[in-house]
Amino acid sequence: MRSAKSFFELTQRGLAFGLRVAGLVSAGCILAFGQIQLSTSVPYTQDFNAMGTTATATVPVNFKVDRTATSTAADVRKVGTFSAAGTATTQVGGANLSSSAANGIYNFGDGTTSTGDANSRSVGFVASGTATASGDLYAWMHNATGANITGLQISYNVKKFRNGTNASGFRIQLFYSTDGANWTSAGSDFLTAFAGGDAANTGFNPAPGATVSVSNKTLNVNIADGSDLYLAWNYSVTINNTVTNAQALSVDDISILGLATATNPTGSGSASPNPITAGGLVTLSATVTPGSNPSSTGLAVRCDLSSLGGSSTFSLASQTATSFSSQYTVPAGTAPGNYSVPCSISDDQARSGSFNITLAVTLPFNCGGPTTGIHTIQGNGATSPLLGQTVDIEGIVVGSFQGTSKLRGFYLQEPDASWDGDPATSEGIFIFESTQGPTVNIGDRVRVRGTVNDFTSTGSFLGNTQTSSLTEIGMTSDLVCSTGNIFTVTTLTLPIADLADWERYEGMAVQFTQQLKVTGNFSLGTQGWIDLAPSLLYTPTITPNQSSWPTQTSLNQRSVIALDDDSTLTNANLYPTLFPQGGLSASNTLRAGDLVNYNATSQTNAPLIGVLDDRFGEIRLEPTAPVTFFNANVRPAIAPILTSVGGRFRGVSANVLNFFTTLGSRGAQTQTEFDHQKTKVIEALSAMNGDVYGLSEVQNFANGNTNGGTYTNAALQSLVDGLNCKASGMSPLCTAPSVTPYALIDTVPLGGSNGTDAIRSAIIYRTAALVPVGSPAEYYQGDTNRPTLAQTFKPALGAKPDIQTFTFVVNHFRSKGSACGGGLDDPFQGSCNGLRLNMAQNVVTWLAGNPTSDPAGANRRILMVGDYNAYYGEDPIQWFGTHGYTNLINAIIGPTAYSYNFGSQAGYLDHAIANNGTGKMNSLVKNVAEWHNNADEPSSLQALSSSSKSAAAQVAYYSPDPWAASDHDPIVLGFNTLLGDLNDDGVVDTQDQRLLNSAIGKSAAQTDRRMDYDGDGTITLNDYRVWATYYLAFQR
Amino acid sequence: MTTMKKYFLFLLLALAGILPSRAETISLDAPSQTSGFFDVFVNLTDVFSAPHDADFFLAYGFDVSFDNSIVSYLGETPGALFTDLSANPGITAEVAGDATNILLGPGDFTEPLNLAVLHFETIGVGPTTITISGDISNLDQGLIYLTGSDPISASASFGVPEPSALWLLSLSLLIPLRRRWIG
Repeated sequence: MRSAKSFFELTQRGLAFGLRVAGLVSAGCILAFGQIQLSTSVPYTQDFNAMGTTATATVPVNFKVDRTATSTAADVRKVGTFSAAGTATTQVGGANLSSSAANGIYNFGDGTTSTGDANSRSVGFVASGTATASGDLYAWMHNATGANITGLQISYNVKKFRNGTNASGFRIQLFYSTDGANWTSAGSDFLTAFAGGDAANTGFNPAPGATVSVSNKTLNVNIADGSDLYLAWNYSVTINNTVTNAQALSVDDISILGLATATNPTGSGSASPNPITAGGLVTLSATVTPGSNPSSTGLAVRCDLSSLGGSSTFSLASQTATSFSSQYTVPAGTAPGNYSVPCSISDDQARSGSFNITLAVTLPFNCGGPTTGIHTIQGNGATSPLLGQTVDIEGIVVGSFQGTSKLRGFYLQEPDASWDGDPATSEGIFIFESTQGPTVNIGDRVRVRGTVNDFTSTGSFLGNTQTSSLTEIGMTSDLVCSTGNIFTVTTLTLPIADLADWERYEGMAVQFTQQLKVTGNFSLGTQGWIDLAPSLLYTPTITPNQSSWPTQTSLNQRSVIALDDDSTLTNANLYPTLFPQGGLSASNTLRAGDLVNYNATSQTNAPLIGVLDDRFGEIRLEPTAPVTFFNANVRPAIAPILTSVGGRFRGVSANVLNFFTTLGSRGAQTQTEFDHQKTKVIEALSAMNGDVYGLSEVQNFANGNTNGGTYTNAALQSLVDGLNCKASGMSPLCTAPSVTPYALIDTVPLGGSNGTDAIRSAIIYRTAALVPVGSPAEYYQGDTNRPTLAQTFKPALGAKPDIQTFTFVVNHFRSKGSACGGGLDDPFQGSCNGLRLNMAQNVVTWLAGNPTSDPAGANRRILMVGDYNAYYGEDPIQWFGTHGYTNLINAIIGPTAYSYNFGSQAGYLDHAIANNGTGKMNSLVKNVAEWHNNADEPSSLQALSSSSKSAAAQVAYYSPDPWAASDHDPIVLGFNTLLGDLNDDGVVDTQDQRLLNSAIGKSAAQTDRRMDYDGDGTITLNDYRVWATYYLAFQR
Repeated sequence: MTTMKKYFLFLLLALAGILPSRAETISLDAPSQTSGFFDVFVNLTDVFSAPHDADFFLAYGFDVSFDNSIVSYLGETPGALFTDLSANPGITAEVAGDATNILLGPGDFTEPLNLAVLHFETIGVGPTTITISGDISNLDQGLIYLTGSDPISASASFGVPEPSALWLLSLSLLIPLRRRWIG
């Protein structure tokens, strides 16, 4: 029997499991063979009316019954096991149950007959002295709801079919079990006990004689999803062990409902209109989600309107089962501000929920009404203390830039009479119009209602990414109150004392009366703004005095302000630019160093007037009057530079800005871009008319990629061709030059020494002037420094060329663009400073080994050029200075030198460096100059990045000229490989003596620096004596 | 002084003592004059004495001092083999010149080698001393050889009596005191 039960259970569980998993069998099958399926929505009920009226009736499916076979003390109040129980009653009973009725399991029926009505059955028990000391009605249930059941809500009736004289009385106690064998009492809520000591053991007619209901009692028991639970209604004597003269009791009308975790009702609410003007009628609405398990009934919503002068239990009327709303008149005297109205939800299940309705109360929107001071909104910190709040302000328009092509708003300044006198609080603010309102003009007094916002944005400030925070009003309504009002324009002076001081002028009308100069124009054609300062700013690290770097950094930061174009248009949408006058074009540039609002005739400047703003990483001025520029830094003609440089030979150092013939890689993206780039580069290179060029950023690999496999000379040859074309009097793009004065140094045979970068350094030379001596050599140390290239040359013409060799070196060190990590980065000297220093150290060592086998041996002259990506004061460049080399840019041009403008700060990353000592290269260089054809120009005038320009801008910004040919300025050097040849004619003679004679007594800077042989800065008879030794050497 | 019609030049003193002669000798020579003007010849002898026996003479530079209440300095004329540099702005020698042919070696001239002629005018009476000095710590001064420089130090004393028609001249010798060698 046990085995059969186990098999049955396993079979049924297996079926149920299989059905749940596979879903292949209908729910009806589950009900036919499974346990009682618990539900959390529909209670299971059982009235036993299907049992019939026989004594051995079968109890309903999933019910069982049993009784004890004896009536000993061990048998009372004893619950058996579900698995061992039977499925049928043993007796039938109804009205007038006999005092001698047999003990057993009864199929009782209500009514007046001895077996009872067929449609009103129940299962019960009668004890005796021989057996049935306990009887049990079992039910087997299963949770397949898909969720845990946390309890059962149970109801049933206990019926009394016979009195009993047993003084202990009898009862029905409910038990529960998870295995049908080990039972736990369900507690007193499920104990139905009848008092003992009835007068006689008599039945009832009609039966039953008494019915006691157990109604909706909760049995707290957890039934995991997929688990079973067993119930057992145990019949027995209430106390003691004597079971004779028993009362007959039965169980009927069972109802079982699973209980899941109860949830409280929740809700949300809103107010309309919101904001509401004080005195106005507002509708408060709520949407409620009823509680569950059981579902809420009798939902009600109440709100506490005491903060708005109303009832603390203001009821929202039910509109539907889940929506509630009522109207409320906000008292006229209610203070403006944001209110949070607490509301509560309740249901008949005594559960509750809560939510808040936010409501902004405003004042009537009329000019002259109460306002919040702009200085109050701004506060004395970086962000407003009233963020998120709705405010009414009234101020004077000091700048109007409405519309999507502008700034989408205007600036209001507190009327002068109501300034708060606190210098730490700004009196101005930007009004942002998500939807453009009425047109406002400078001088209008405008009332605005809106929300205080913090507009944050990021951008580059002096080359570093910075976040801006602009307090603004997100306008919801505005009203022009009057026009023609005057307002104060605050005068500011650069440098400002503290960067934090800008905040106190945010949004205000300001002016600069001092002369300002353009110090940066990188973003002119892309963002529409430039940077201004009292003078051209220099990168702090141009000086080796490291202790000055922090101070200079601070000074630079405090000295600059952006001049914006009153617009947020960028790139292709930005044409023409607001400045210079007439818009930027190839022929109408705006160079770093140009003066703002300067009148050259009167030699005075007009004030620069506008509104102070903070966005895109930088404090800026949005001008409110036309700004003019005086081209103080004119494009420098090359001829005077070449004259001043002089020399027998001319060296050029140039960064050609990613010169690639393979389109679509790092350089030009289209054929037009390439043609424009090449034309500009060649115009610049040919204008300098060099004898030897040291170039940076020439395409390295044939496919244009980094580590691209096959090295190429294609781009370098293209440059040579362009120079030859120009020398032929033809276009730089010609295909068949009539003369070919220039040739390249071929490093392709050096293989891997050319490195893995997409770009490399290169040398072009004039064959009529110089002759390569031996082969080129490269130093590559396997990192992101580009290989250093060296080639020894000698003069092609003139006397004694073999004693005039020199070694020309081109460096291109690692950029500052991205961090190297590992301690190689420096807060002032930039990313990868350590890597550049390492390269400088190793290049010095490499050159000491005479890598090109310069026949001059220990007396060889070394001239280095290139893009070192390090300013003069930085470690890599200083290394050369302390290891036998002279920085010619520093020595000759000095602190005003620059070849690059990064972050609106000038400086020189490009260097000409010569070894020093008697007869070394330093004494052979007559002069050096930077041709500022690039660094001062707006980047948009460069040929590349044309896709970011509109079609009109691409036309306007290009011209076949040398301006903006690259981002670096080239260096031009005049030198002579013959010592003492001061007139650069290839011989040392009395003509040179005459030049020297005329120079004796002058400073070296006033004349030919080569004459200062003893290096004391003055041309003296001692220099003459040194020169005479060169003369003698040449003559011999 | 312009009222003086006749002058008397007489020797007061030969200043320079005889010092060990290591090299060249410089002399100041003043012929008799019959007017209020006179010249002093700066001459060099033993130009290529050791250690200059394989050297080249290139240039010279020195300052001139005197009692400006007695005489007035009017300027100089370079020696025939020299180009005058005295007027070069910024030069730190009152009198300077370099060899027009750049290098003067043995056989290129006959001693004494006249470096320059200094021109004076008498403006008072009494004794005075004219001194020339070339300090080789000054890179424009000294006797400039290819291999180094020698200092210059020479003086001559004069007397200007009133009235007189005769000038007497004293000679002084310059002995190089030290030399700046070019190594």
